[in-house]
Amino acid sequence: MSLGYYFLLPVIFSFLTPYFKKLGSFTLRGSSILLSFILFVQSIAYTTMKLPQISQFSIKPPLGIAFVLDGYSLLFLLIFTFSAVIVSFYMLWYFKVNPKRDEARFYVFFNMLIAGSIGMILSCDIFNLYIFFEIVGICSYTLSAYNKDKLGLESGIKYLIIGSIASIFIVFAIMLIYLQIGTVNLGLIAQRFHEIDPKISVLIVLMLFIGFGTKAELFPMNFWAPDIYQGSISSVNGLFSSVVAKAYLFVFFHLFYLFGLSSKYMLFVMVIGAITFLVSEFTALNQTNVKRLFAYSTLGQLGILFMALSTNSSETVSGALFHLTSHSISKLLIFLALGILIHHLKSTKISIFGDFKSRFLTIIFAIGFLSILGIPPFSGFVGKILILKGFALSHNYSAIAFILLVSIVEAVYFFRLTAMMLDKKGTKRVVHVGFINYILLCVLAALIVIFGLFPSLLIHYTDLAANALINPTDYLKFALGVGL
Amino acid sequence: MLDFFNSTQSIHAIIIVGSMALFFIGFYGIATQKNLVKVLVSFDIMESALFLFFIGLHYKVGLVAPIVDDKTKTFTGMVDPVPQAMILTTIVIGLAILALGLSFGIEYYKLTGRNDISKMNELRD
Amino acid sequence: MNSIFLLLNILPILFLYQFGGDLHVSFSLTKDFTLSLIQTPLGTFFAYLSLISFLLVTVSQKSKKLSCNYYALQLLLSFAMLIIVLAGDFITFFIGWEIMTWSSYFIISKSNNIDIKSLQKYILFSLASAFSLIAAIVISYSFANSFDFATISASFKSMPFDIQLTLIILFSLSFFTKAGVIGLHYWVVDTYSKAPDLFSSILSAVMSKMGIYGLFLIYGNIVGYQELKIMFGTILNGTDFGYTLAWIGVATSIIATFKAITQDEVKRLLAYSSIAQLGYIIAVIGFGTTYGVAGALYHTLIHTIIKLLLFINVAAIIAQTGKNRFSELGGLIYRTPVSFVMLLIGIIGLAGMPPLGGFASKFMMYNAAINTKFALILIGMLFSGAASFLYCYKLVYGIYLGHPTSKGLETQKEVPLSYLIPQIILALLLVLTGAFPGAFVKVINPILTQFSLKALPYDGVGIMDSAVGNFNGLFIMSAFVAFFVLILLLISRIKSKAKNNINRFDISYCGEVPSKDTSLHYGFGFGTELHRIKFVNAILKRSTATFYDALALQTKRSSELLSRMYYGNIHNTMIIILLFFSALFFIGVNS
Repeated sequence: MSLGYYFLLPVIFSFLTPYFKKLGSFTLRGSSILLSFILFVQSIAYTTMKLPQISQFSIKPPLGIAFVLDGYSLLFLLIFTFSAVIVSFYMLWYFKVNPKRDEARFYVFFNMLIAGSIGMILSCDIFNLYIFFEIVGICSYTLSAYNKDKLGLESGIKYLIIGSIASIFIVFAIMLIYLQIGTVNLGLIAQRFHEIDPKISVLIVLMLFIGFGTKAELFPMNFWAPDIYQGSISSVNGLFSSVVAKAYLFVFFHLFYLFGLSSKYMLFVMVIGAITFLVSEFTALNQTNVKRLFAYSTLGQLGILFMALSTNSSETVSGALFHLTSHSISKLLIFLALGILIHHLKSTKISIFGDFKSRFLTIIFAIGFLSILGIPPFSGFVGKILILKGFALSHNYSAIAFILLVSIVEAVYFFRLTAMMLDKKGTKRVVHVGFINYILLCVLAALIVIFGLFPSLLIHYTDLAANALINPTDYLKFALGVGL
Repeated sequence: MLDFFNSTQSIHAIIIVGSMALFFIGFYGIATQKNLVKVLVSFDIMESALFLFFIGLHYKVGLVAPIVDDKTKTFTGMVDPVPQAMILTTIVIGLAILALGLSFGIEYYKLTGRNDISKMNELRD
Repeated sequence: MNSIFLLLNILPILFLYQFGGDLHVSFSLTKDFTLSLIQTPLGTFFAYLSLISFLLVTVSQKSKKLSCNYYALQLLLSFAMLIIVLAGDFITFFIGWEIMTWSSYFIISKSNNIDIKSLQKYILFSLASAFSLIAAIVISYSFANSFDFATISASFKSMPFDIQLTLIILFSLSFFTKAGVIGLHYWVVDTYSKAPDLFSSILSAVMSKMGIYGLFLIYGNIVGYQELKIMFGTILNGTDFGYTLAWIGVATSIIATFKAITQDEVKRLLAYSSIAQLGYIIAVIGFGTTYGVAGALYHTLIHTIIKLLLFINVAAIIAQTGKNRFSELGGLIYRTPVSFVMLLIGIIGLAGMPPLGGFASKFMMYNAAINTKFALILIGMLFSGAASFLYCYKLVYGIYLGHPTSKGLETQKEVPLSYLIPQIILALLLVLTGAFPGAFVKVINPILTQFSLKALPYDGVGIMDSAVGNFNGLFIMSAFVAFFVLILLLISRIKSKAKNNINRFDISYCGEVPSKDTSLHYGFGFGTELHRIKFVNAILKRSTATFYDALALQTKRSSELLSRMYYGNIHNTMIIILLFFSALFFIGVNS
């Protein structure tokens, strides 16, 4: 299967959605599951093939546009398609308990969101990348406004305004690059980026930084992020946390290493990441809304990832990618379970953690929390210790101390929630999880435990990804169309 | 005088100055305006400024539009077609986002009677 | 349920016995991490200590209706501790450490009188301890390129001095927190007193010992006592390092002893006493001499036995009467005589009086201090040892002697047999360790060899050798038993018959007749008079709670301050982004 189908199939399914809707909700829901399943299985098939893979459309790159799949994008492809499978199954439950929702509207944008995210990680052409960026943007604006109430619309509008700012910066950067180099192919840009006049190059880098950094929720640009999480439904929160934010992060570091910026801007990105981590974790302590709380937690984890991914050492980067995968799974787990809780208790206050009675959900939340905190034997631990080990090898002890100290702050609110769940006092309402969710949450929790106990299953891919990210020679060869 | 204006450099200078002025009008708009529609319009002004800037800088005196018809024998003497294609796409995207933003704004206005973005603060802890 | 888990608790003991010292398993987690289990004499000692404690506690849990979850978590905890003590590298050690942290957290959360604040205290201190441990682990990795104990130990000598110092401090902080050194003990008392009653015995007897194991591992194995001597130099007959550590330990034991005396809750008293006893161990652990290590190890054993005994005893009383304060208990000696005898044996051991094991271990520790000529340390230890008599007395008096202070105590029955069996076994162990200290020499000699220290001479099963003369446990024990039997016979001769007819309200003083609510128990308010002594008052008045509460408050305030930034005004957010860009642009272009 050509890589183009990763984009084409969801788009076709998206456009066929009105037709599926006529055929009945079963077809509609089934089609989305089928689509995400096809994409996921195909992604697994790619793990056995030789990488990088390329799909060109009519003209050979660097003139024509192409999709390139290397180790780095493969990891993200697996995460995205897996999240899509889980969320599409979860929506079966969601639409069962909320029968009056507009299903077609959700599935159109859900499919397109997956298409756009995958397009962003596969595209080897900066302008196409921008188009996918906008597709993801439009879909996420609409999905965050899926509840057409005050809060939903407010979050949609806010997201749209911020997205517009980010896209202006990115368009400007792309134009400057084209004016300087005369190409939009990532390979050619990467080869000739150092030829650009230093002042213009600083401008381009800053614009890309602001554009993608805003979307990837870095500190001084992330004041909007918790609002968006608060206004949208839980499954969309899960998607934002494990797919959308990760896609922007992917592009950020893809360009960061491709353009050879790591030596010059490493410290800068690391400091920004550290500040993001610090501020978000401290802010999260004071939250009374669960969705905002987990939004801040997501921001904090993104901060760690920014710190670790910018180090230019394959060990740390591999650890960070492991942490990223584990964080995606854990946050998906938490947000989906949270959706069940919010549905039953009709509240988003933090006190709902003390009000429910379900041993299964308690265990699920506990696994999620422990994994995010990096406590063995869950997958978060491996990621965190690999990151710390990487920092130690480069003798960056201040980063280690910083991460560990702020992690204690993080533990405060996670264990406050845990203690509320375990507290026996007060009236508790029984929460029925539902059969589908039972299986989904079990799968996610099992993955967290399996990756914690047998990390080598995943480390193979993160190593591959880290090497592809830091030494993009293979990627460049394919992006330039050499030997095709 | 006309020759002076007909030189590539002066056209570029005019375009740079003009589009930058336009850009900062948009910039001023988003920095000061709080009405959602005005903010969206400001974004559009900023985008237009970028489009002008980009297209303008790729125009050189004496070159023709990159349109191929039956009479075209050689492909020399045309401006670079890539920026134009890019800008067309970007315009479409910008339009879509503008439409989406306006539709959100209308729905929000229907629900609350407000369109001031700085007063949209129900999403808070 | 209980019997199944009892069997499951026996299995690891058999397993360990089967391997008999040659256990060496490794499991490759990834290409960088290899988990390995290696049985060392030190690890084996602690492994048996923890496994047998778990077994005894499980026996006493028979009369409680506990869920399967509880037992499973407890089994996981024992498994985690087994991993810790058998670990051959730091990753395994850390995994065990963290599993221990969260499994005990979930067990504690099952208690009926736990609150969120105490749980938070427990888990945050545990995590702080774990994070300080992991920081030390990765820093040592950056020099040794391995997590293996042996490799890190070998490359420790070549590290720069500041790194060595940082590592020792980080490791020590982590293990001090677990052992509850003063200043880091904020979590200990609340957790021990609010945990499930029987689980407190595990917390105090076994889990705090993991801190001690960690200290032995670092000082003895990883750094090595010889290396410590080279690093820090010597003072008198010991090392500078040992001297500093000894002061920390002595301060811990003195402060905790005085705090213990003034407690009204039974389990809080035991918690403070636990801190104080661990203070002794920490005081001698750094001496780096044969006697220091032997004393610390012996006291580890004795303290485990005593605290298991006392906590099970107290848990039985609490379960039986539903009262957990001295001011609510009293006079139980005639209702629960066996429990009384067990507690008596326990406190004789705790106070370090001959002829029980408590004396032998204290003797070894004093002996170590004499041997290194740390006279001030010795005085401090003797002082806190003497002061500990007060809380031992309060313990036995408050619960068993005097008048019953609340209703229902007069009609109590003896506690269930499942509580008594482990107590009897432990009391016997305490007697045996007192009578046959020489047997212990055989246990610790391999450990001393492991630390490359001189082995203790073995002069027979009843004799403990020391620098100031031998101590014949068997002889003392025989003498005491003979004397005791004699006195007992005498007392039984002159036993008065009127005793049982006394009503506690048969008294009046100053013309007042005590009502039913008047507390006539001496244990009530015992220790408050200590406030009159200026030195003791200074200790009792101060508390680390002030510091930690202020820290929590400051964190909360800064959190509030920071969360004001996220107030959801999108217009300002846009302006911030634009300003941030402009600022970066000017900085970027100009540099």
